[in-house]
Amino acid sequence: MDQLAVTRARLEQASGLPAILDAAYDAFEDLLSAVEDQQDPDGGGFAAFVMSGAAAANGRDAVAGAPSLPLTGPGDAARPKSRALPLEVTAVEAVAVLARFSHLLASRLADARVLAVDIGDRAACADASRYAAEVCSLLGGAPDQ
Amino acid sequence: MTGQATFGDFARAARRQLTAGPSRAGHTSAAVRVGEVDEFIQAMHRLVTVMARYCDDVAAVFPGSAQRGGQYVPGSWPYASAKAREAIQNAAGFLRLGEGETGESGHPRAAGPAAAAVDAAAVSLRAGRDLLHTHVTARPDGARAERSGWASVTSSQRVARALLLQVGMWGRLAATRGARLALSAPPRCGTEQARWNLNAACQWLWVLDSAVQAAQRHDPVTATDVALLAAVPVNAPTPRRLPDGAETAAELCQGAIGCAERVRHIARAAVPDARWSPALTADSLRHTAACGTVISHHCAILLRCLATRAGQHGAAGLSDRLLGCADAAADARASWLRAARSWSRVTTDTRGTIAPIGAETADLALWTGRLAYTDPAWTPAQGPSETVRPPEILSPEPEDLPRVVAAVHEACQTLTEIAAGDHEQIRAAAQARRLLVSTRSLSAAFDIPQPFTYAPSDRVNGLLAVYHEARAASEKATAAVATVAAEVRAPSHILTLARAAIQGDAEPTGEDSRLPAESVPAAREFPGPVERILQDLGVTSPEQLRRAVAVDQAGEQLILEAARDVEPGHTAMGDTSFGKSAPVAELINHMLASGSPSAVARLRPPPPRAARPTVPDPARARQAGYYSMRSAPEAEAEP
Repeated sequence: MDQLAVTRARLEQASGLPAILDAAYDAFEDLLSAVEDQQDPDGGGFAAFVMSGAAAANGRDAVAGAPSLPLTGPGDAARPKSRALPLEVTAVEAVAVLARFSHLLASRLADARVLAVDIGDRAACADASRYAAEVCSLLGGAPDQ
Repeated sequence: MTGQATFGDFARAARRQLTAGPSRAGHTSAAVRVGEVDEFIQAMHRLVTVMARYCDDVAAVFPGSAQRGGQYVPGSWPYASAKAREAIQNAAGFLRLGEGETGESGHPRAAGPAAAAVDAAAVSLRAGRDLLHTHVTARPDGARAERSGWASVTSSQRVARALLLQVGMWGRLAATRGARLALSAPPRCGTEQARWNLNAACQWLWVLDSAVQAAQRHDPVTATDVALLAAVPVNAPTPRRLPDGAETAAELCQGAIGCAERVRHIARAAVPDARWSPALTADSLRHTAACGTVISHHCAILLRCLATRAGQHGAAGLSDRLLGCADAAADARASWLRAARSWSRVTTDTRGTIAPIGAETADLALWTGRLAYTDPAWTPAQGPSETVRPPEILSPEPEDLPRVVAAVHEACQTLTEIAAGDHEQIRAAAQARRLLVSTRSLSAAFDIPQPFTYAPSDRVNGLLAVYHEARAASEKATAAVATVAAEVRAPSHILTLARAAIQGDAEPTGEDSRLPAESVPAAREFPGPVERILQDLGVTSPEQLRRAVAVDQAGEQLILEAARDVEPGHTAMGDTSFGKSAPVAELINHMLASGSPSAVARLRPPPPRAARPTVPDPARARQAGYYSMRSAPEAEAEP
């Protein structure tokens, strides 16, 4: 099972604002790692992957600024690193997988925004959800579905 | 290149206005209106006022190092500049206006055709000067501040010399027009004094031109410098425009060029103070770095495509050079990608917004992408299905190639400026400790109970290093494309000329250094008295006109030889000539108009009485930099 699948499962199962934020932070990290792996000028979709990298980093920083994000946890730097996506994945396959992943991420952050009471959390969730939707859109997904 | 007004537009208009209409045909007594001389003097004053300001602008450019022993070197451009200022001030002194007239805009315009043409030229010149001044502004302390990349060009010596050459030409044209009126208008059109003053002002304009032409003979302004001056655009952003999907390749090139110019303008005009401004965000810098990566990717694609097409057209050498450019663009892409990725581990203390420059850079990525790919609706979200535009569609004919080269050149230049600007911003932000990292990205050894902390020095230094690389690689790509742009005469090669002017480089290789005809005095713009009489008689025989010219020249030569034997101080023709002998004034005009240094030295008109300087003690004059032309006419001789 690749890292992205693990994080996806965490994201789907997370409940409560801190848990969703914690999973979302790691999801953005994995998303960033995955799109950077695909930033091959000779491969397809170079522009989409490069622009997605910027949006994913912005989304991660937005989550990082949420007051309810646990300062440490399963997503810290000690987390074991592995490829977010298997090496043999093609650009076309990666686009599809990452579009679905970012769509889920945007959706979960929208859920988190509803749960948030603190204005800082609400703003962080809104910003991060917007960036996840941007990644989804750049990768050909439909973020509003 | 994008339809924006340039200095050349106004300079050409002024020249057209000064050469059109009555001056060419010559004034006839019947055609001149009552009061026209006074009206013309007012218009000339407005023209001379703005020309004087141009002279001041030029004088500000030349450094004191051009002086030798406390005096300017005769024949040098600084010398010509100093003499031009003196001459234009004397000309203005003879064109004194009535009460309430200032020579500024806002006064009623002339009604007569001759004066109206001069008025129109003054308006054009004022607009041209305003255009040049859009590139600079004054700081609160009065210091000059640059507002665009063209500011250094307009203050370069090469462009200042070209500007002075233009001023000389305008002076020559205005003098020709004014002197004709002064000498041919009947008394009812103006008092004798008014006509005398007008003629004296015109003579000073010829003196101005003579000083400029002496410098031009000694150290010629090149056609390149004249072209560069003419190409200076107004410093205003072009309207934002996005492709609608219906553009041809040529229109996409034009759109990319316009967008690139707009991005450069905004990059300079809307720079936040990185030490404190909330507009400086990691979001924005990341976005711009990603766009820079994508734009350089498109440049590499387009250059490779052009190389293929050049090869298909049988231009193997050009094809090789374009491939070299494509490799340089690919290197820039790699550098920009490293810059974009470096932001994965660094952030800023303010986040969540993208500055206007980020959005504008994304526009440039879109324009270049539409040009690089076949899909007319291409966006970065196209994904792996995108198809590169075939070479035969990108550049169907060899003459289409310069347009695409220009678009790529402009894009590369823009990336160079963005990289330089962002590098400085990041450096300032780092010094202000505005660069942070998420504590989650640090190793477990760090126990910081906050979401963000100051970025470790290795990350900051790494970020600065990759931006330095991006700047260097973008510069290298720009330089490579500039070489090809010059070779294929792409419109963007003016960027290279501008850079050379700023750096004081020698003439870029391959440039045609011949001056355009309009900058060189036309032979016998102002006919001699015998020739003029034959013209008035309607003589058209080339042989007879040639003989008339020969008679005029022989007469002038005799006068000059005779004048050499006369004590200095007894050759002030202007004081006695006009009222008593208009033909003498006409003869002097003709000799001054010839631009002959010896004629100017011997027949220099007197300064206006109010402005006539007291001749100082020679030693003190040298200390003060004052140089009396009348007391030392030999100094006017060719160096």
